[in-house]
Amino acid sequence: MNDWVIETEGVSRRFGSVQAVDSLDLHVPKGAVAGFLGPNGAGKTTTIRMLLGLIRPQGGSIRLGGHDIHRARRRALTGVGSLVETPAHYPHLTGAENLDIACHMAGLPRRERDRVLDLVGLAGAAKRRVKGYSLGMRQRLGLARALLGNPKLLILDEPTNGLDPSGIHEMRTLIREAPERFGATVLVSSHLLGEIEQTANHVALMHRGKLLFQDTIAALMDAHPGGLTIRLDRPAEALARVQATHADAAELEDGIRLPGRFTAAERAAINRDLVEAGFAVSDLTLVKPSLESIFLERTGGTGDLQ
Amino acid sequence: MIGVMRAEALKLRRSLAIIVMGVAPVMTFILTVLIQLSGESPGIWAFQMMSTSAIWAYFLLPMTATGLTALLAQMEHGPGTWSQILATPVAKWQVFTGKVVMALALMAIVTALIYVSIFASGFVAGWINPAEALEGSPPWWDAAKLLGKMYLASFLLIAVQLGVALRFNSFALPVSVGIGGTFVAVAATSSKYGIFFPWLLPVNMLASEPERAEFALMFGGAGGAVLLALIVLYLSRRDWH
Repeated sequence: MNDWVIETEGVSRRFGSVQAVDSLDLHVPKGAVAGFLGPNGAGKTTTIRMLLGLIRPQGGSIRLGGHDIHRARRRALTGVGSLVETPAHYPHLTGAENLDIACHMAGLPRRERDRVLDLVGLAGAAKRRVKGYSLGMRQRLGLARALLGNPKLLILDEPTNGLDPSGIHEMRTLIREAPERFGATVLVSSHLLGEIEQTANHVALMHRGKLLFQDTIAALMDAHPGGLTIRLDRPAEALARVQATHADAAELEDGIRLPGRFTAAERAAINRDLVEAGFAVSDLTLVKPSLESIFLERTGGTGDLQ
Repeated sequence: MIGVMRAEALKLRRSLAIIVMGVAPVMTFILTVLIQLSGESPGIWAFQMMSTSAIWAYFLLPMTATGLTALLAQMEHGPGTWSQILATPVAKWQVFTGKVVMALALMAIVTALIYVSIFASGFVAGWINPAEALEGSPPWWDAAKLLGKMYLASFLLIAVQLGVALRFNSFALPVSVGIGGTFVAVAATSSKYGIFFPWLLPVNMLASEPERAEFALMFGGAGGAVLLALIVLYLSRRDWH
């Protein structure tokens, strides 16, 4: 018995000639905030729709909380809150009435509506019609609906779309704290790498329908240790010198780059060696990899992100 | 299922559907009052009932069904709320059955308002001009039976309109189907195959041959119930992008 809250095995879906999702084996552990990353068109939304039972996969299986989404749909979706793409509400109704609809359907009491309105900071606008809401307020209302009934799994598709900077900050905080505050596991999709870097502890990278990587962000960073950038004169000569000990070193326009991890002592030794050999070293910078650089590396530079 | 119906009822608050429900009864009321006051009416309750029912069955019932089913579906298509509703633990068939029940309930309410309109128009016109008051006793029971049968016979028409409206994310398509069906029905009245045309089935409740009316009632009522069940089944199984 494992602790996967989301578990897919070989899930595939094709639309015409486009393979939107290809043999996806996605595993999200309990208590994780998992970032689901990929450029537009990578297959994230199709995957999320399949996870929620809105689209049937053409192959493979999907289990939420251990229940198959198609054989035991109701049990699988019990305790799942979701926000899919743009927030959709009934514009002629108030924010509170929109949540009342969700409460009626889920058999939840009215106090639950008030609780989530407070949580997303919409209590003051609850009696206003949604057609007068800004995009950010609609997004918050969508999140409020997803939080109804204290879900154990939150599936959020691009949740910061349309939010202003403070709204983005609040949303990130809420997502980051969801496991601790609500005991929820979160799968949050985004094409914004910085977004995921700041909120998630797990990551799944998707590109052209395929899963490129999934694990903790720490594991991803371990697999991509970054490197050391050295600014100096005569980079070609310096490169020839350091390649004796660092074969994968590369020449830059104004220096050299050594991939890998370097302790302070190692950095000092490299610096001393170069200076003693007569190079004018002007700068040593330890380069930490970003999700973006890792993503571009993994997609061969084709995974353009906005 | 009760929760789904409460949610459906709440969605109607401040919606255009409420206005659409009032259009046909108000129109028939105004029209029949004016006809009665013009002095060109035979001045009997039976005629009042038959003429109002005919206007209802021929034009206003199909158009009301078209408008209401399209609005019920657009309530979800418009803002894109299907994804939110269908991603909840509520069984999909319950969500679509809720729409079916609501469509039938709204049509039942409008039918009841038409019933009220038949008698209200007769009494109001008689009150405005006592010389034009209708003769005889009001056909309370006959009108209820006739409108009730028209309502049941319209199930197939409601099923077609609701099916098209729920399946396609378009307001124009179900409205075009409804307008087209209503006008083709006028031309198809005298056709022997007209008895199978969904938009003509309620009109057949006025047929002089009882067996024709009986067939239309069975075909429209039972056919509509079967088609509505199939629509629920189909929509519950299809992908929602």
